Amino acid sequence: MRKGNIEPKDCEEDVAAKLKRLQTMVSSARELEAGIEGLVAVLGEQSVDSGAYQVAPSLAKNLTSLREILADSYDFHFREFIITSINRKAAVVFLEGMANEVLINTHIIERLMLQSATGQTVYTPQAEYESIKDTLLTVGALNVVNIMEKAVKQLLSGDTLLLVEGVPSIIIIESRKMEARPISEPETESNVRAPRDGFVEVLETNISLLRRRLKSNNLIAKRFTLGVRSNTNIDVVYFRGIVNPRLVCEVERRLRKIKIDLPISTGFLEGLLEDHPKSIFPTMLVTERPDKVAAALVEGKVAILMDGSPFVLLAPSTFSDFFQTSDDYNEKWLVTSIIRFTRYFSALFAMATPAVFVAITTFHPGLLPTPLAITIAVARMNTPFPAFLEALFMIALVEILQEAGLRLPKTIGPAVSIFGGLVIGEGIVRAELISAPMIIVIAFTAIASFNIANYRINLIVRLLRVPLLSLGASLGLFGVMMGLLTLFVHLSLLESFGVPFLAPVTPRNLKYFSDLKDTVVVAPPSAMDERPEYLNPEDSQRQQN
Amino acid sequence: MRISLIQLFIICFVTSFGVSMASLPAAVAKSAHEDMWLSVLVGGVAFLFAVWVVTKLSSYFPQHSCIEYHRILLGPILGQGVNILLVILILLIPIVSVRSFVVAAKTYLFDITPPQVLSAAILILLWYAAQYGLQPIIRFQQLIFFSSHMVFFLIILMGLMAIQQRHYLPFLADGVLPVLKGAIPSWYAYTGPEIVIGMFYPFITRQKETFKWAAASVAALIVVYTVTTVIVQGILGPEETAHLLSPTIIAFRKVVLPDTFIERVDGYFLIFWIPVFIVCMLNWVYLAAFGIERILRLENSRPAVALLMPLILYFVIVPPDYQTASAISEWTNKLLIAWGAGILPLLLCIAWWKEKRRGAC
Repeated sequence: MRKGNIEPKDCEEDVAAKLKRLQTMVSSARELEAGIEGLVAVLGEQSVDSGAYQVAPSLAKNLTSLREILADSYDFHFREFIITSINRKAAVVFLEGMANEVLINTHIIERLMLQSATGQTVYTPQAEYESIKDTLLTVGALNVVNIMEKAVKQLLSGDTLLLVEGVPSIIIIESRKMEARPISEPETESNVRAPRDGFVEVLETNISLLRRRLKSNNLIAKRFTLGVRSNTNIDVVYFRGIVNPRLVCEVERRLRKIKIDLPISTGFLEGLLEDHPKSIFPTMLVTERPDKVAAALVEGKVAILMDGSPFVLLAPSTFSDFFQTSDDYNEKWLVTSIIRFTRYFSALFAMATPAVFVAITTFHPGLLPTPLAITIAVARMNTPFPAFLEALFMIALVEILQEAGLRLPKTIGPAVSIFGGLVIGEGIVRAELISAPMIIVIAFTAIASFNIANYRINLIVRLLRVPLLSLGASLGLFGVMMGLLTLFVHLSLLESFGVPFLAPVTPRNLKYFSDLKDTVVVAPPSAMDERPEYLNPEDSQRQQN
Repeated sequence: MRISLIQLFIICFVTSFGVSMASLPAAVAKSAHEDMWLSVLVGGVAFLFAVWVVTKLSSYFPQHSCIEYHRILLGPILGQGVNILLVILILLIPIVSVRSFVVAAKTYLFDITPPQVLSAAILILLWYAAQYGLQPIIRFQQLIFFSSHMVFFLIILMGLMAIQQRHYLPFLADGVLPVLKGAIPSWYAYTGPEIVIGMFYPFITRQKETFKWAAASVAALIVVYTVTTVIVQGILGPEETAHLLSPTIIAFRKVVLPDTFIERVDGYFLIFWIPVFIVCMLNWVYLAAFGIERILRLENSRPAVALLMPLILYFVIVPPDYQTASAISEWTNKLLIAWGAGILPLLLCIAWWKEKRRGAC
C-alpha cells in the first residue's frame, strides 16, 4: 500500500474496532455505576439507633425523625390531620398489620377531626394537650412518653403514636390487633380427658389462658425484653407466696445475662438458660398445655413465656416431670400409677432391650431358659449376620421409617407404615437376612418408645440405644450394666436451677419422702396435700383442710 | 455439702457391702466350721465398737474431718504420716476388691476377655463418677440402693430354697473360741463406716444422731451378711465352703427354679452384683481422693481422682497370681483391724485426755 493512500476498507475496520472498544468502556462504566450505587445504598442503610433521636415540640421534626428511624418501610403509615377543637396539627403513626385500624379510624382520627370545640376555655397548650387525652380520645389504654426510643418500641409492638404540634411528648395508644392462630388442641401433647386448649404464638393470649385458671392477684407476670434486634417480649410468671424467691431471682438473673440478636425459639432460649447445655438431657420442661403450667405454678415453679412461641419453659424440672401427663390426674390413682410405672419401664426397655438381647445371645446364652435358648438359636441359625449387625440394621431402619413418617404429609404417612412394616419387614424375614426374634425385639423396642410421654426423652432414648448396643456387643451384660450405670451417674450430676435432677427419687431425708407421691406412683388427690419439698416453697401445704 | 442421716445410713451400708460377701463365707468357715454364721454375727457386733469409737472421736472435732484432727492430736508430722497411711490403707481396698471382682467376672461371665479390659472399664466409670464431688455420688448411691440393692437382696433370699438343714449341725460343737476366731476375718466385710464417719463427720446435718444411724447401717449389714452366710452354709456345707475362692457364687449356681422362666439364679446374681460393686468402689475411691484433697489442701478432689485411677489400675494388674493377691488382701484386713480396733481407740484416748486437760485448765 502506498503511503498517503488509505483504503475505505481499512477505515471501516479501524472505526469498527474503535467502536467496539468504546462499547466495552461504556459497559464497564455502567457496571461501575451500578456497583457504586449499590455501595451507596448499603452505606445509607446502616442501622439507625432510635435512642439518638429526641422528641421535639415540632411535629414536622418528629415526623422527619420517625421517617429516618423507620427508613420509609412501606408498612408504617403516617396520617397527618388537624385537631379541630384546638386547631392544631397532629399526626398518627401506626404499623399496618399489627395495629387495629378500626380503632384508629373511629376512636382517634374521627374523634379528633370531627369533634368541634367544646366551648370550654383552655388557656395553655398543656391544658389543650390534657383535654385531648381526657375528653377527646375514647380509647381504653394510653400513656405518654417523651423518649423517642420508647415510642418506637411501642410502635413496633402494634401501638399507635399520636403526635401533636407544639408538644414535646408522644401519646401512645394501645391498639394492638394481630392475626393469630386460634386456640387449639396442643399437637405435641395429646390427652384423653385433659383440657384441649393450648398456648398460641401471642404472649398476651397465653397469659390470659393462665389467668383464666388462676384467678389470683398473686399470679405475677414480669416482663422482660430480649434480643437486641428483635426486642422480643418474655414473661416470667410465678405464684407469689408459694414460689421460693431465690428461684425467681435466679431465673431473672439468667435472663438479664442474655445478650443476643434474636431468641429464635424457646428451645434456643432454653439452651441459654439451663444449667447443663452440653448434656443430652433437658433440665427445663417445655409444654404447650396451660393446665400443666398452671399446676406447675401452684407447685412453686416458674414459667417462662416468649412472644411468638406456643411453648412455655418450666423451671426447675426434674426427671420425673418428663414422665407425667395431664391424664394422670384425671383417672383413678391406681390405674394411672400402673400406667406411669409402665412409662418408666418402657423407657428402660426401649433403650436397653436390643443391647441385652445381643449380649445374652452372644455372651451369656446360659442365662436364658433352655427351651427359649434353643428356639432363638434355631431361628438365628441361617442368618448371615452377627446379632450386633442385625440389631444395628433394624434400629437404623426403624429410625428412618419414623423420621420419614414424621416429615411426610399426612396423606402419605400410612403408605410409609404399610411399606415399611409389611413389605420390608416381611421381606427381610422371608429372605432370612434378619432373624424373627430380632424383629420381635426391635418392634417391641419401638412400641415401648411410643409409650414415653415426652418427645424429647423419646429422642434421647432412641439415641442411647446405639452406644448401649455397642457395649452389649463388646462386653456383654457387663458392658450394658456399665453403660446404664454411666447414664445414672450422669443423671446424678445434673441440676436444674439448684434442684437435683433426680430430686424426687433421691430424697434427702424423711421429710422429702412425701415427694414420691407424684413420682413413680400417683397418689390420690386427697393424699397430695403437700407441695414438693425439693422446690423449697414458701408455703408447703397445698390443700387447706 | 450436707449429708442427712438417711444418706449417712446409705453411704455406710454401701461402702461396706460390695465385694467381701463373695468370699466372706470361706474366710469364716475355715475357723468356725458349722458356726460360721455366728462368727459373722459376732464380727458385726464387735465392729459396732469401732463405729462408736470413731463417732465419739469425731464429736470432739465437729468441724474437722479425721485428716485435720489427726494433725491436731498427733502433731503436724506424725499426724500427716498417719493421714498418708490412712489414704494408702483406703486405696488398698479398691485395689484388692477390683482384682477379686474382675477375677470372678472373668471366671463366670467372660472366658476370653482380658482382665485388664474389665479393670479399665470399671476404673473409667469410677473416674467419671468421682470427679464431681460428694453430692452427685450420694444421689447415685441412693438411686442404686433403692433399685439394685433391693433386687440383689431378693436374689440372695432365693437361695433359701436350696439350703439343707444338716449343714448347720452340730451347733457350737467346738465351743466359743472358734466362733471368735472366725469373727476376725469378717471385720474386712464390715469395714467402711468407721472411715466414712471420720472423713465426712463435719458435713453430717444432725451430728448427735450419727452413731444411731451408723449403727443401724451396721445392723443392716449384719443381717445381710448373716443371711448370706446362712444360705451359703446351707447350700454347700462348711467343709466345701472353706475350700472355695468365691463360695457365694458357687452356692448360687446350685439354686435352680425348675419349670420357671428363670431357671438358674447365678447369672442374675452376677449381673446385679455389678452395680452393687461399683457404688461400693466409688465410695472408696472418693474417700481416698477426699483424703488427698484434705492433705494437700486442694480446691477440689478432681486432680486426686485423675491421679489415682492409673495407680489403682497398675496395682490391680501387678500381682502375678492369686496367692499374691490373697496375701495382700489378708494384710489389708489385718491393717484395717489394727486401724479400727487399735489406732482409733488410741486416738480417742488422746482426744479424751486433751479434752480433760483443757477442762481442768
